[in-house]
Amino acid sequence: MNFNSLSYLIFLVLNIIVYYLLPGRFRNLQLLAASYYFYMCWNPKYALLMLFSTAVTYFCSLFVQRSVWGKRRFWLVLSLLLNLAILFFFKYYNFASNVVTRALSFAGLQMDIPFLDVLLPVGISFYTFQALGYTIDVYRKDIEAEKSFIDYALFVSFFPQLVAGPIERSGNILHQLKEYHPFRFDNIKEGILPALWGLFKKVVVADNLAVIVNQVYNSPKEHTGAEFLVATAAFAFQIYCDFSAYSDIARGSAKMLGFDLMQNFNCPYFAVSIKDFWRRWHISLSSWFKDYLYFPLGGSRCSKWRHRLNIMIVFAVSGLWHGAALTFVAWGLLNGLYQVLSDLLQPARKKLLSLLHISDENKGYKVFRILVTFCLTCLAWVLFRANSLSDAMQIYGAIFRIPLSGIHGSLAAFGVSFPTLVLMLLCVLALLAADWFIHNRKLPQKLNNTLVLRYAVYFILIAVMLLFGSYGDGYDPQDFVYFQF
Amino acid sequence: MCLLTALILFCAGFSSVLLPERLDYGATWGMYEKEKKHSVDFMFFGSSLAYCDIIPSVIYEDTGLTSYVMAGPEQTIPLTYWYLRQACSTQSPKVVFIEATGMFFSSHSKSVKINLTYMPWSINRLAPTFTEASEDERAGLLFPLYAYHDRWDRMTWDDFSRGILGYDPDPLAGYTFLDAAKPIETIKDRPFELQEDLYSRNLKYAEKIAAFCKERDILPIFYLTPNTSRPSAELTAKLRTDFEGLGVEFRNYNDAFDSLNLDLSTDFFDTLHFNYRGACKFSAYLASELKEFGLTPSADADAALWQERIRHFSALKDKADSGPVKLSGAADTPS
Repeated sequence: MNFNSLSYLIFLVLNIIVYYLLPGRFRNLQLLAASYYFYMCWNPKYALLMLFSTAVTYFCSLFVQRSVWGKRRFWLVLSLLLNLAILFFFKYYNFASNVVTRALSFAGLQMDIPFLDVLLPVGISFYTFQALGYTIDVYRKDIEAEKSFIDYALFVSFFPQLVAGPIERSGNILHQLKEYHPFRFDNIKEGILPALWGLFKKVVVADNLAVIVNQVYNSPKEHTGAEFLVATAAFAFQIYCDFSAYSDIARGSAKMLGFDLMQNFNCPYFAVSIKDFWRRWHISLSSWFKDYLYFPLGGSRCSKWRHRLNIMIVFAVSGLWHGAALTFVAWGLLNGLYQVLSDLLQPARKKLLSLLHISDENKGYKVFRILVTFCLTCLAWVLFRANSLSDAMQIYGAIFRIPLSGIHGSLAAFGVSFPTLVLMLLCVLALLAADWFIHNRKLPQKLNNTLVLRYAVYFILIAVMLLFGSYGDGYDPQDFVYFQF
Repeated sequence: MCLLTALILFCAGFSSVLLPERLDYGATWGMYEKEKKHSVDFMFFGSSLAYCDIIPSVIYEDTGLTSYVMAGPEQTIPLTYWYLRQACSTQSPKVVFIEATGMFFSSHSKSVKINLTYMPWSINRLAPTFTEASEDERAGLLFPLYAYHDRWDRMTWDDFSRGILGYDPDPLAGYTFLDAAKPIETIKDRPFELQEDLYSRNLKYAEKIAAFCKERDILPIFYLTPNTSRPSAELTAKLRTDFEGLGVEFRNYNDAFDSLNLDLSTDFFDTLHFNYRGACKFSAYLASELKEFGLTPSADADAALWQERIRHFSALKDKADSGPVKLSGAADTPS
């Protein structure tokens, strides 16, 4: 049941109605049943896996708090091991076995490590990290262990953010589960806008851009450097629109039920450095890694080189979190390398700026930094999107070939019509402008306070989706990209 | 409420603008709706065997009687029933001719969608959408933007004006002009496999057609168009028996094949359909038969429009006649 389907709309509306009709004490049970139903729409069997993970983290956290057998650390490690073992088995086993086989073969040894024919459970990385974060929070005594299994199970499985985040923190959600949420029209109003905005980003921008990206990236030998540049920029916006759309719809859906989920994106393509980019992109994951990996490794309170190593470790793990492939690891490492190099070059940069009498606040310089950051991000996206490491190398080869080999013949290379290309360009510009107004000028609040404007925006978004959206006969609705993680 | 109204208007407007233009090959409801109300004396229903083979302007020229072909590609008998009901909401023909080959068509084809897409919104469109269309087609039929919104990048100003202002009356009154020819060597049986359950269902709808006609005081005539790939003698006999059982008239114009003076080398578009030469001959033959009904031409007919139709068809015919016979290269199309 995808967010961009009629079945989800019906499911959400029914749940909102039932939720507000039910007495408070039954509501979490209803949401839990709905969340499991939502998850089971993909694969009923894997709901058991989520239940197991929930039970493990629930009991281990209780045992951590009560120091059962006086061993708090034991229960924490047990919870981490069991959950990470499941994650490894379903997500990384085949990748690891492939890497080991190749490494052995490289060393002249032959060994057949069997491959497993298992489907990756949807959203396993998201709910596993959410559950692990909770256990660590209890271990650190940041929060009390949750006593109600129903409430805790709902925290792990809450359907709006279950399969693609945001990866919520126990401190933000658990207390909301204890609160009574009376029906407030304002919640519906405030939920509809991000949900519609998210749908627009997914159905109009991301899925139309996907056609261009797939056309070029799925046959790298047939395309030129310039085509890859266009397709890579298209992918930068496709993945942003796709993923942020999911977060927006999740936030909108949760808001209609009276819950506030965290912001997952904050104008990432207005970032002035890679470090800034990671403060704005997939914020829930970045902050998870910061709190549960980067800080425990020592963060920046250690030697410079150790700090740089910590950055590389965090980004390598982050890459691996995204997918069990070398391309994702390389993508993570490249992002880490950007930060390390930026750190190394900072003194020289400062010297140059002072020589040129340019201050950090200079607007032109800021725009320059935004453009450079966008280009660096795009270069990294090549690794994220390429079907293999060798494809990625081929694409880099084409991009950096001088002079650029030009776009073959016609725009047909992108697999869409010229009006569609123009539409996409306009959509991206509108998206950037809207993003800026949303995050810097509190656009949603202003819209929600102006009846006519609000309904005009509803109308425009729905009309644009109906006309230009990727749906209907002959369309292959794209799954949300982050589902695979 | 305002938002809902605005969205409904938006969907209705853009559905009509984005729907591909439909000027021939049946299902031409946009043009049919522009026909002066209650001005048609005879109507023809069925598949391409109707809209490729009957020229209303030829009939009008010979008899002064007005007629219209409201057929659709590969139209099945249930769809013909709904077409008849819809057509009779704006016209009150005295006689309707229903091409009966559809009795052997399978219940579903890819043309069901086209047959229904252009129908005006009414129960006559909605009912077959649920009974005749496949599940995959239903969303597009109930919500045309679902099926046609991707045409936005090919839209022209003509699409806009047609979508907003609508069609003009059909200058050929439902007929599709085919000028190419396929030389025919032999006359043979069309390889239909009789599926009893399907045939029974079609017969049930034939009965409904008869009942509807009775209710409206219309004379229904089921007929087989003359062609060179025709239902076997056995199937034709079955049709005759079953229609007589329903108390409706059945005419097999294949029996008149020789008296039509058809030229097998120039008068057919393919083994099933006439081109304009064959259609002219068959329409003239029908015109002579129609005289036997002793009907007086409708006083409500738009004489100027019909004169224009005669001129239009003559111009097309003269243009085609002035050149060498074009070969159609058509395969034996199945409709």
